[in-house]
Amino acid sequence: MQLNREDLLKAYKGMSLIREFDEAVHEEFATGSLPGFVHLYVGEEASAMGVCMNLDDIDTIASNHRGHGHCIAKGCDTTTMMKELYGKKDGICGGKGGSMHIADLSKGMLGANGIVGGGTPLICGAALTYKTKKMPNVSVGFFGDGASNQGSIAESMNMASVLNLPAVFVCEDNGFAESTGSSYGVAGNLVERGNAFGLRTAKVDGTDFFAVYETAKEIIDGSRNGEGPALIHVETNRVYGHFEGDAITYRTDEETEDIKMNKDPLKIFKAKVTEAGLLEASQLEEIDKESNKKIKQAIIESKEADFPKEADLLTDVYINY
Amino acid sequence: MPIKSYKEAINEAIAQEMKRDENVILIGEDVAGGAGTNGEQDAWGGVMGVTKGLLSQFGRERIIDTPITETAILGMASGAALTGLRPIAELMFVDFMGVCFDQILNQTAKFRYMFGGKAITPLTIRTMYGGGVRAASQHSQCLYPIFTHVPGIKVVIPSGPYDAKGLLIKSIRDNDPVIFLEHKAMYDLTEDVPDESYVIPFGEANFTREGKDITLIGMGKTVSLCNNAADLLKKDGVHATVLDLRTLSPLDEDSILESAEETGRIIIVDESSPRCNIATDISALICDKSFSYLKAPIKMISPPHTPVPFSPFLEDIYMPDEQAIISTAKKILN
Amino acid sequence: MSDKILPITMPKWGLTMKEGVIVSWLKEVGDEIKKGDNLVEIETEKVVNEFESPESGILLKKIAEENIKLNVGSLIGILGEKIVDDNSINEFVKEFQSNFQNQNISEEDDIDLNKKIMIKDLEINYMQIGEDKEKNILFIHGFGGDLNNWVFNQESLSNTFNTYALDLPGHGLSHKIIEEGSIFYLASIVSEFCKELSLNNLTLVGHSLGAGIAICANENIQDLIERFILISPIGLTKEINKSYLDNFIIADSRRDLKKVLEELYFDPSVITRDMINEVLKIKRIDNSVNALSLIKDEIINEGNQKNNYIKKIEELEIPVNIIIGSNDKIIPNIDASQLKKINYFKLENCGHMPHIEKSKEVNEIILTK
Repeated sequence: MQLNREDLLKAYKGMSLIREFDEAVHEEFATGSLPGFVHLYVGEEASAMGVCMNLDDIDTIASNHRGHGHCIAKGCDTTTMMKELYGKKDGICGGKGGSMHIADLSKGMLGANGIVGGGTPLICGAALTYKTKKMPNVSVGFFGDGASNQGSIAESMNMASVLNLPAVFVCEDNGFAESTGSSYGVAGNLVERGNAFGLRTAKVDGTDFFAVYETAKEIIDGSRNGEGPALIHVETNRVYGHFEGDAITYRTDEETEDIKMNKDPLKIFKAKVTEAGLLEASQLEEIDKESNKKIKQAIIESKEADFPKEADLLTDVYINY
Repeated sequence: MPIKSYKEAINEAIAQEMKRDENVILIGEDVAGGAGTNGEQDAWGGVMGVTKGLLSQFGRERIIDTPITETAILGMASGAALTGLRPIAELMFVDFMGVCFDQILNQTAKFRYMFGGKAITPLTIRTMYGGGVRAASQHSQCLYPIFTHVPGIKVVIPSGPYDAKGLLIKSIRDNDPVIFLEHKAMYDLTEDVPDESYVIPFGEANFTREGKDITLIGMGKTVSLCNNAADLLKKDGVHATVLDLRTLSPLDEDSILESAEETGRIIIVDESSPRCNIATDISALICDKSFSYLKAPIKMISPPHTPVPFSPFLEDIYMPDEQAIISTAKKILN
Repeated sequence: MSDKILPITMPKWGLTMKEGVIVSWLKEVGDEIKKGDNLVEIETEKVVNEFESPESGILLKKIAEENIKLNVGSLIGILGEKIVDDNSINEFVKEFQSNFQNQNISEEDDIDLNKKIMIKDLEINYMQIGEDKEKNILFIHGFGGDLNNWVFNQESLSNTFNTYALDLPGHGLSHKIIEEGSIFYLASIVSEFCKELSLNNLTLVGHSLGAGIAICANENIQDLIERFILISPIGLTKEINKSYLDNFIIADSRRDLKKVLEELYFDPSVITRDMINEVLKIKRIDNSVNALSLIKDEIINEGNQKNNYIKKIEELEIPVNIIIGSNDKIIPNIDASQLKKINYFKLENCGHMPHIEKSKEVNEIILTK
């Protein structure tokens, strides 16, 4: 299935923005100006964009601690996202959530999540809402190879299958669960786990946007059409550590170089579209410049923005008490 | 007014709300029963039959039997609440909260705050608590202090059928997550309950007896212990106020302090384990805010710091009773 | 003078009362008691009130102690026409108690005496006490009330009348959803009720809003009504305590409602915890507050009473008795000279609820006037 020019540009814009955002966060974090923990998505951009370009604002996603990419792919505003990372009042969650809890319900983003496997059961809930209200929508849960072993994932797949829910489970296998390789921690075969619960399954090269997009399209369309839940096993790579501050000594320098040089989804996309004459290299460079500018501006604004007031500490625990 | 049992009152609350609002659904293990079998559908209606009869009224689209997967049940209910439904999820025994506590503690309770005030999570979690029925240590706990401890959820504990219906209707209509605790030994208790729907607000304790000598504070099943003790004490000329907390979060601090200041002698009767329970919480509140009115130390009646024993002989010693309240009262009155 | 000993027993106030507590004795042993004297103060679940001695005599012995709960019908004390020796007293008490013990509690106690009837597609709840009498009496409560407001009147008068008390639409146990709250609409419901039950030779007793309804009902059921008793009626003055109605509607806590209800009485100690709870229970039923708001808007217009019934009353050709309390904080006392052809009774030390605070006097008026 060929994507038109507009969509190709949209795809690259998204991936570029994700790249710029997390690279900027990588730099800023190193200066000590960002509070708390961050977990960066650099190297996995094609997964988020490839899946989310098949979703609209009513469809929902739930994400994990490595959630900036999913947020941006689902349409969250990068400036307010950045402000959130700085804990500012105008942040996308009022400064009260931080990197691991970024959410925007108006864009169908049910939140990044600080509990490994914690967000995935929620997509069964959203899918149940769609089924109950007879809406043609789908809910997608992103989780990593580390989360794939959590009971919550197994329970969610089983529940989605039992109730025939329009829920799509996307396992972004970047080869490492914190500092432990997935070849060690993930027993058996991920796709077969999905099969075992009766889910439609697929395995895809997460460095190739087109592969992800087309696989996701088929899977998601199926769920929209009443075929029930599915599991996509995306093989991808994270350039940086589990969290910023991780010395990544569990991975060799050669492996890291290889990831940067040969497995960069943006480079692979660029090569494909320019070789096929679909887009010009200069267009893509222009997009990179734009993204860079936008994120730099976001950082400036974030640094200048106000923190929440003392009274904000006590608000929004309940709607009324 | 018609007489209904605790069980019937709860069933009625659910049925009336499901009729009124098509977004209300019921999710849980065997809430109907018989799914995927050749035998009776609606075989159980909940393990104690509380939700029996709803399946025929609302069908399997809105009465959803689930596999035994508490994390998925609570998580699914929470996600559905976030996205436009108004689910009632059943946690069959509160003791099972260990299996799914993350979904309650770190997800449901925190969405509104973490997402900067944008999330609305109108989830009601119904669960059974309490001992005295020889169900042994893993099926007899109270655990409501743990929920009360968590900011972001509300904790409701009705003491009888009238309160149960009004508080459950309120829980379902409330837009915050609510844990609704049903004492498993109270289901056959009866009382006048209106046929119409009605709402009892949260944060309003109920005075079931009034007297100037001593305050007895109870919650859920311990309210009837306090009432019985108060009636027996009256024969000896001691007039007790009995306060039924109704909701633990929010807590009606005003009524607690008002009565504490009037009598100066307080006994709190709490069936949950003694360390860090509601009795200790209220005791600290009264000491902090009304210390100068106290005429005696605040007394807390709770079981001992042990798991709930199985043997009937031991369980009967374990559970708080009227005699404990009366002898404690007499001690602090002298 | 005979040696006759007269037992005084725990009275039954209202059909649901099963037991009461003596709060305090108001007379001493040896005192001369006249029938009607206040003998003891009794507290029930619903109310605290003084109990008048049904007999005359000397108080020989107090049987009931203060603060002990006793069943209805239990021996409270004994009177005698003259002082009698202790042996005779003890014999009497022993015999009474053993007979009392053996009595089965009447099954009637456990039956719910509320009845339902459909009037114009609304389910109306009512209570009937007394039958086979020639005359009928219908009690109509006021704004925010219910048929239990007549607990000190209905049963007492049931020896003379077939007594009926109903819950107005939007109140008590009657249907709560109402399309409109006009007095005429409510009067039409009451008229239909009277016609359905063929309540001829009818005394219509209305309190406050209920009195206004009674007056308006007249034109539909003239042939049935023979007499009006209007207690603290609306429609006689311009002024009314608007904030009372507003606050009654808004109050959703025990504390707030207690403050509001206190305005109704000269002596607020008559209000018990249970009384407040019962009112709250009805108010919390779905659509109850809506109904009250609709009705309130038909009672009050821009801070004053919307309706004036003086002309209607003067045009009535049957006896009209108006009873008000001198300390009514809801509706100011009317100047008696304004009303012609009417029996007018102003009761001292009494608020907006004479039928509760001065039930003896009100019942007397109903029986004799």
